[in-house]
Amino acid sequence: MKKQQWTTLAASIAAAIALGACSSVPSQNAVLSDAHRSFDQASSNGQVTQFAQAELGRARDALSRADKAWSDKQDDAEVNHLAYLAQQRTQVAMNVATQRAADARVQTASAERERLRADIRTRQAEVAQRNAQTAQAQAQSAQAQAQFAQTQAQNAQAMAAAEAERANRLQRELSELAAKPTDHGLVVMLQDVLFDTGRATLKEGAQARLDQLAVVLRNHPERRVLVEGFTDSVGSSDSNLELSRARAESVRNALTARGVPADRIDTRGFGEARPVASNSTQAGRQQNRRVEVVFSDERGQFAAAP
Amino acid sequence: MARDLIPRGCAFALTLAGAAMLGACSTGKVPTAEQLGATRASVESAQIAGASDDATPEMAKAREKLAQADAAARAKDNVRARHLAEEAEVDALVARSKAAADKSQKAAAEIDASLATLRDEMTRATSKQ
Repeated sequence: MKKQQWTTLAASIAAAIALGACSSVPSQNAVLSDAHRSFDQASSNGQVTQFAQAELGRARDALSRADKAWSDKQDDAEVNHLAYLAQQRTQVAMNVATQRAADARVQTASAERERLRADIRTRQAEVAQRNAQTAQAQAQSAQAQAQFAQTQAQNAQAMAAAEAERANRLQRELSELAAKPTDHGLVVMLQDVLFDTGRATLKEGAQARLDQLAVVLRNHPERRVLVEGFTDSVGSSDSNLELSRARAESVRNALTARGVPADRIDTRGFGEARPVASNSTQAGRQQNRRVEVVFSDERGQFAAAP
Repeated sequence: MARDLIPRGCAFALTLAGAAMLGACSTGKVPTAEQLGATRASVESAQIAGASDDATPEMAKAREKLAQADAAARAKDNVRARHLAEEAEVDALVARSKAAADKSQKAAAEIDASLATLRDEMTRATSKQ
């Protein structure tokens, strides 16, 4: 053999090895070409290389045998047969890969399913617990509200009782002052030698009753008083009106002097109006020269304009 | 003739021995009864593994080729018998792997569906107050 022929053969062998490595021997045989295409496709498929290495190896071996038969120039029936086997081995590798990928999926999904089931149970338990807590909190809140309402009712009742008690006490104290209940409230009448005719100066005999009145007012700081002055019919009505105001003012001064705040006391003068006795006798005129002290209710209000 | 030196019965025995040797070695050119039996077992086990003729055309092909291999062997068409037996075996493998892949894919689809149901349930459980 000449040197050139050797070189050509070596080159051919090198080419065959190189081509064999990437499994793509150029082939004129249609079945063998198809088998190569299928195998190339399968071996570039990540799922196949991951899950069906051994099967892919067997397909590669089968393909090598077919290639060898082709390059050995064996008859078409043999080449076709071996190419068919390679083709089917490739298909087996792809099927096995599909199966194992699905099996792997089943495995991870099963684990995920267990995890999810546990999460759902935990979540449901949490929701149930929270619902129970909410219900409990609502019950407690309702109970607290009921208690608050009860306390308020009790307070209101106690306040009403205290108010009634203070009213009773006032009544008792004022009854000692001979107070009379009238349309516009309790009225204490200060008369009997209170003032001389034409005078607004309180006489000595009035002091004891004014002391009593001051004590009552101090005991009942919620009450206001309206001090109303009156005169007998001696003198002009204008001067009597002036005199009645001065008498009311005298009583107010006497009360403030005994520690009753001035702003709780209002004064008015009615002159010779509304006499309580006849002005034709000495005794009657003395009774008309008087001052009436009207008490307000608990809230400082007077029943009606007197 | 030199050929007459070997008796007829002796020639037949030599042929049988040669066939047995070739059969034992898997690259042998002649299928033995043993090889056909193994092919038959492969085809049947593929069938048992769930590869039906309906689901996989390869199953029918395998059975068909096995029958043809038997016939070829009876007709002493040894090359054809060997080809058909080998192809029947690989067809049965395809059928078997296809059936297994289908089965696993079905299982994966079912578990994915049940996962989707559970995720819905989780969403409901989370949004429930």
